[in-house]
Amino acid sequence: MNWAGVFMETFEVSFSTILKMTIIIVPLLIGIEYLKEIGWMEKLSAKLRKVSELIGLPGEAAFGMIVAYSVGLVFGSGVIIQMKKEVEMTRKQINTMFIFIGMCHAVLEETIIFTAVGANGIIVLVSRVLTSFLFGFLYVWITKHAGTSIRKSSEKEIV
Amino acid sequence: MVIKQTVTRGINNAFKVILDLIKYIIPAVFILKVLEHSGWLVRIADFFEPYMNYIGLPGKGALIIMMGQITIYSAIAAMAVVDITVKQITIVSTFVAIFHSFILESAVISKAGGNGFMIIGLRFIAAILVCFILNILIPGV
Repeated sequence: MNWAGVFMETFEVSFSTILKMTIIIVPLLIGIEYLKEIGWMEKLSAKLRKVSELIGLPGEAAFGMIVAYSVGLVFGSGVIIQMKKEVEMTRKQINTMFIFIGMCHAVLEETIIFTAVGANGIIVLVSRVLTSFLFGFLYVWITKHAGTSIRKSSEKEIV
Repeated sequence: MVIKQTVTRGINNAFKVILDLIKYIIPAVFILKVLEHSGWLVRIADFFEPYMNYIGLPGKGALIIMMGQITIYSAIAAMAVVDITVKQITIVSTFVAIFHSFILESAVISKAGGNGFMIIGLRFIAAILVCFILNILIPGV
């Protein structure tokens, strides 16, 4: 095997990829810090409390989800763990949140880096957001109906 | 001043990210280059070729998806090594965007009290489904 070639090409490809990613990510991270600073996510989540309640989650959940959607899953779940100390949530509610944000998170960073390597960022972003909503709402709908059908059948047994 | 602190914190985060990039991209590229030069890249790609064709990807797309299980950055590195078309880059990016770093992320979800196993499973199914549809919808090769 041509080890010299392996090392040379590894160096070339790694160097250009790291350089490219650095140029994109550094300004992006400063931008995200700025968004955190001006309280953009708090403002947005205050508006989305109603949506959060619509899918059977406490209004406070909106903030954790906005953080995960925009910044990342690890950071978002940190917010969620903090929130759980103040608001009681069932396992079903937590699963609902993570289906929404699991499918689609860190959209700022990930969409930009995929666009940088030549993907159509809009297609990637729209596909992820739609998937997230599709699976999320489906889970909410299924668990809701599974719950009622169990209740109905148990009511029948009593009758 | 607020702005100055913001930039400082942003730059501090940036250093961590650059270290991460170095940590994940160099080994990923190295492994792929070793596979390429030893002929194993083609063999692995041939094995996955029939499955990958369903979502419009060449067999080598499987290597990008596998690298994506380490981090997104490793997948990016793999894309730089493997030669694929623009349509295929969009499809494989969507796949990796939906389904990546499954071990780490299922651990994160489970730690926060969710069912990590179920959610990762759903993400895998969703990724296949979405890429299958994208392959039909996106024109070109």
